[in-house]
Amino acid sequence: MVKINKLFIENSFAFVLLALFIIVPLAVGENADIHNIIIYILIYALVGEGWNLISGFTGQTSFGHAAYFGIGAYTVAVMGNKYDVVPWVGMLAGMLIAAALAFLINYQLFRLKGHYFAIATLAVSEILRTIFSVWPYVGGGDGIKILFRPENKALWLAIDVRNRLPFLYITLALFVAVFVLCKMLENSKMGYYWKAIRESHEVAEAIGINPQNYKVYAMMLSAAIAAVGGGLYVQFFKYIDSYVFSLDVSMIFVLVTVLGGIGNVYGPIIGSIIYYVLDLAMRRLLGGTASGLNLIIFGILIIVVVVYQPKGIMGIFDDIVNRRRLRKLKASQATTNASSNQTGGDSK
Amino acid sequence: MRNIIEIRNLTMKFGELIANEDVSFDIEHEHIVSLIGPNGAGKTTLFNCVTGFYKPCSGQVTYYPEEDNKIDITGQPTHKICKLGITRTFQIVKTLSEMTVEQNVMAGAFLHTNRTSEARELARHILEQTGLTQKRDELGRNLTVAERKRVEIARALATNPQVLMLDECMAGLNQTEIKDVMNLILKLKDSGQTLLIVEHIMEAIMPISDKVVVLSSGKKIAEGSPQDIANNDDVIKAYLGEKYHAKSKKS
Repeated sequence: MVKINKLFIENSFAFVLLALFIIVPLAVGENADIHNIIIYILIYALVGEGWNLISGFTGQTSFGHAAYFGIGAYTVAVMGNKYDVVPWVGMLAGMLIAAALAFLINYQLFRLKGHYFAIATLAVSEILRTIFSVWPYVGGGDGIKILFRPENKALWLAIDVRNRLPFLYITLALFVAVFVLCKMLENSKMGYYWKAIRESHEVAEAIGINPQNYKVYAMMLSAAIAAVGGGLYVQFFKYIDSYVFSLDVSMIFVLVTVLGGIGNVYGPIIGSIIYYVLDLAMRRLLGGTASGLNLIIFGILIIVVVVYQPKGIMGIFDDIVNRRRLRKLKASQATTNASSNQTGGDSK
Repeated sequence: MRNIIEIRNLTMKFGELIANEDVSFDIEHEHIVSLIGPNGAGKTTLFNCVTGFYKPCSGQVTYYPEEDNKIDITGQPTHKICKLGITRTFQIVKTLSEMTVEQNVMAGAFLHTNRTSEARELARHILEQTGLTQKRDELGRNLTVAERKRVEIARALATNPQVLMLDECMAGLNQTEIKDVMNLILKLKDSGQTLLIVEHIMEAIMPISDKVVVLSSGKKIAEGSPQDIANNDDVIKAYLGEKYHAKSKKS
């Protein structure tokens, strides 16, 4: 009982968020628009969590996560359309293919460091985009349209356009699963090793970590999570073409995580809420007169975040909490100092 | 007394530059061996060769984890050497700056356990031992140089090494801080730790070493007890230069 209480107190922020995500869709009634928005927020946040593993925790910036997102989406679409495979199985297959691809590519790619690695990941997704745009098996330039066959209604999770609640809650459940996984990883040996690699390659090696292996593990997990996001996305959007591999899509996952807080499990979800709501509002308000302005504003926003608070919005929260804690500490120290009439105090 | 590491004819070249030439010496079990020499003598290069950061051009490093167990560690990757029981610290401190002191040490402690709670327990024990308990929740980037050097040692200790290699762990510290580190090193030795230390500060290193090895221009010029080294002509020459050495003889 005490343990459960502690769990709630330590993660109160997560539980408040979860409660909001459960209640808000019900509260707005049959408002498909709001449901749409929440589903997109959750999908982007889910992939953002994946991106966070490799780029936030392990410090290897990837600009090519659209590759794994796209693989997940295409796997579900192709298997469902051509072979009537249930999307759950399709998503699992997508995860495995994405992880295998991540292993094959990155085992060599991790010889590169920093910016060079980032550029190489970008190249990977661009190569996939070119291949998928001419490969007839996956629809080539036309892409794949998810077919709805009435006799096979169980095949697609998100087939009913008017009622999105079931799909919304499926997405939410998967996001929660990914979130919990990331949180557990952060506090495990793996998480500590990833962070050590991020902070210093040499130290990691000197304390017995094989950086190559742990980076590959991070990338494989990250790719598998991105593939889940892709699988959800294609079922919801019901159409996929090679655009899904483009830099624009990769950048969404970078944006939501960097905005919310890189290297923080809460980052992607907070960032995703802000990103998608802002993006949609600007597109709807300015779409006719000043289309493209939203991209400019996001560019500026990212510059502001990176310059003033590299840890994103969660960084601002953390600062506030820390400052309050420090003030309390100082106040208590001041009282003890006054009573014992000693000098010193702050030992920093 | 047995040897735990044997370095034989180690040579390391960077292009035409010879950083270590034909260096041989032993590190005895449960002893403090220190490596001294003027700037650019090749001390850190030797360190890097032993710990696998560099692959030596020729020569051999042999490690005896137990009496009759012999492992050739020449040119092995650093993380493997660490798993075998040889851990180093860095001359230019590399604190994991976005992690707390405790997390820094825990990262090392995970080498022999997969469980977070066990790693934390071990880390707390080592923090106690190195006098860092007070700073447990401080972020790495907020520490002073002295604290960083201490974290460096604590993190290395957390991997439970047979041989601990310290690279200038006292440089840039004040007198009191140097005393603290000296005491820490002696405490470690008493608990059966073998140490190889690179150091510049003679007052600190001479009283605690069991054996001193002197490098100059990449070559070993002397080896022996601290007293022998202090009176060795070649060593004085290497430190003061020929001219001043001659002057000091005259007076």
